[in-house]
Order: sequence, then structure tokens, then C-alpha cells
Amino acid sequence: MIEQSPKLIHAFGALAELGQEVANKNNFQETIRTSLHLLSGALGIMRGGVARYSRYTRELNMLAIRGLGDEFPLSLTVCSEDERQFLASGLNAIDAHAARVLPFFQVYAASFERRNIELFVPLIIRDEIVGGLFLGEKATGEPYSSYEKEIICAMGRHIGVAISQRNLLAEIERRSDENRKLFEDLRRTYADTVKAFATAIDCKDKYTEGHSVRVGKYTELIAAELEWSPDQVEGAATAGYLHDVGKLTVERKIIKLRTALTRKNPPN
Amino acid sequence: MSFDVDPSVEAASVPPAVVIAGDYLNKLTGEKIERECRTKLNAGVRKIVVDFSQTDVINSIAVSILLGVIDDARNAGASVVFSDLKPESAELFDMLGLTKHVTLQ
Repeated sequence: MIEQSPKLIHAFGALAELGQEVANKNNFQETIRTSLHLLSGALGIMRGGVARYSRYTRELNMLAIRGLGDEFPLSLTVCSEDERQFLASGLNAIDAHAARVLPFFQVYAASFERRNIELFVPLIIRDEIVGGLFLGEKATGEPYSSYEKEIICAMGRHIGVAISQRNLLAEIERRSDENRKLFEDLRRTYADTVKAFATAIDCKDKYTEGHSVRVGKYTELIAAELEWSPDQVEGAATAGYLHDVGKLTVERKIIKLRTALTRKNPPN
Repeated sequence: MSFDVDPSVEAASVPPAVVIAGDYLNKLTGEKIERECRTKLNAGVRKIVVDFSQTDVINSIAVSILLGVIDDARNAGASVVFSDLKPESAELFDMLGLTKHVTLQ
């Protein structure tokens, strides 16, 4: 352990920097790229990549790669059997050579061998696969020790959290967009309802036909010309369209009365 | 994303290039060295000397970037020399295996 102290100190320094990088909420792509650098630099790893997992398409899509070349697939498919095994093993380093029983390592065996991919780490956060780490050989040429795998997993957890946070943010943005569209639909429905009311009011009396609709439109134009805010313009227009709304509850014969309405002169 | 060398450049005619590393080698300065090295490899340089005489601190990101430089150089058939390393930096590079891929001077 004593002779490994400098290695540990160096790795812990990288781990601290990674924590800071993830917490800083910089540009997501840049965070992932820097994370890969920190991981490689912590243990002297020659090449590797960080991928984000899409549970809808069951694909690991590369977010950052180093030294993997142009031929390495940027999108890797994961089947249900792989997914089940990854979830069962948790966030642990999987030896790519020893895991050949899994379809994932069989399908991509040639690519992994060509670029010396030795370890794959499924990034699992809150029982969900959010991504994966692909790690090539160490510059020393030695195999990964158990404590190095632990450091990789600790760093992987940070990277996984960064991806998970990003996914969460994207989901919030999507829902907020959906809500905005629903709100717009509601506003349109409200405006249409107000206009329908105005038409109904105008139908009550042939003499003032179209009056409420005209008042609504003119009010809207005047309010806009006065440079009122959109909310104020909308409010004024609504008031214009509905200013005679009381007519709806008044009997038609009273509205059509040609003389003054008095107790002595009730409509027939 | 791999590094390609311009095949039209006649390698043998190009003398070794010296790239000076600053006092603190981090992401920013590391990427500057990476850019310089790539430019020189593309210009046909087949021996790159990285001068660490002014370098006091090297962080993990810079180590990763230097590994990338070594990989690029190897793919281009070039060699990398690390010169005037401080003992702490030499120890770090030795511990992480970089010294297996470069010549120390």
C-alpha cells in the first residue's frame, strides 16, 4: 500500500477535480470530455470512451472518445440480456475478454480487440443504466489492479451522475415544452370561446348584429395602438367582446322593446 | 477523430521540433501543446521534443493529453522525447507508464 501511495494521491486528486467538474454545470459535452481526460490521466489509460445510454433505442451513443480511431462504432446496441446482466452486476468494471458470454461483447469483439478495450463499466444510477465507459490498455502495459478498478468505478459514478442530471434536465425541458404547448392550446380555446360568446350575444338582437364582435376587434386594435402589453390587449379585447354579455340572460322581447321599459309598460 | 498525417510531406527532410511546456500543465496549456504537436507532425516532423524545464505542476488532464500526443506520434511513425523533466514529473510519468513510450533526455 505504501508504494502505491503516490498513485492513490494522484488518483484522488483527479477524483476531486472530476467532482468539481461535474458540480460546475459547465457545457455538458465539455464536462464529459474533461471527465474522460481525468479518468485517463488518473491511471495512465491510453484510450477510451464515454457513452450515454438510450433505454428507448437500447443504444450506447458515444459522447467522448480518445484514441479509438474512426472505425470504432459511435453507437453500440445493447440487447435485453446484456441490459439485465449489466443491471445485475451494478456499477462494476467488466473485463471485456472474460465477458464474451454476453451478446454485447460478442457482437463488438472485433472493435474491442482492434482498439485494445480491456474494461467496460456500465454506468448505473438509481437502478438505471445511463451510460458506459470503454477503457483501453494502460500505458504501463500492466493489467488493471482491483484498487484501480475501484477508482474507475468511483469516477464512473461521478460521470454517471453527470449524465443522469443531463437526462433529467432534458426531460424537464421536454415536459415544460409540452406544458407550454398545452397552455397555448388553452389560450386559443379561451379566445375562441370568448368570440363564440360574442356571436351568441349578437344573435340575440338583429338590430345590433355583429356589434360585440366589432367592439372586441376595435378594442384590441386600440389597445395595441396604445402599446399596451399583450396581456392587457387580450384583457381589453375580451372585455370588448363580452361587454353586452348580460343580454344573454335578458328576454328577447325586452331587448326588442321600442319604448322605455316601465312597470306600466311591460313587454307583451 | 483520428489524427491523419499529410502524406505529401517528406518526413526525412524535416528536423526535430521542440515544444516548450509552461510552468503549469493543465487542460488549457495541455491542449495548446497538443495543437502544436499535431501541427508539427502534419508538417512532417518525425521527432518531437517536449521541453519540461519550466514545468512545475502537471495535472491529470494534461497527462491524458500527453498520452494522446504519444498515440498521435506513434500513428504518424514519429517519436516523442521528454526533456528536462523535474524529478516529481519524471516520477509521475514513470508511475503512469508514459516513460515506456517516450525517450527521456
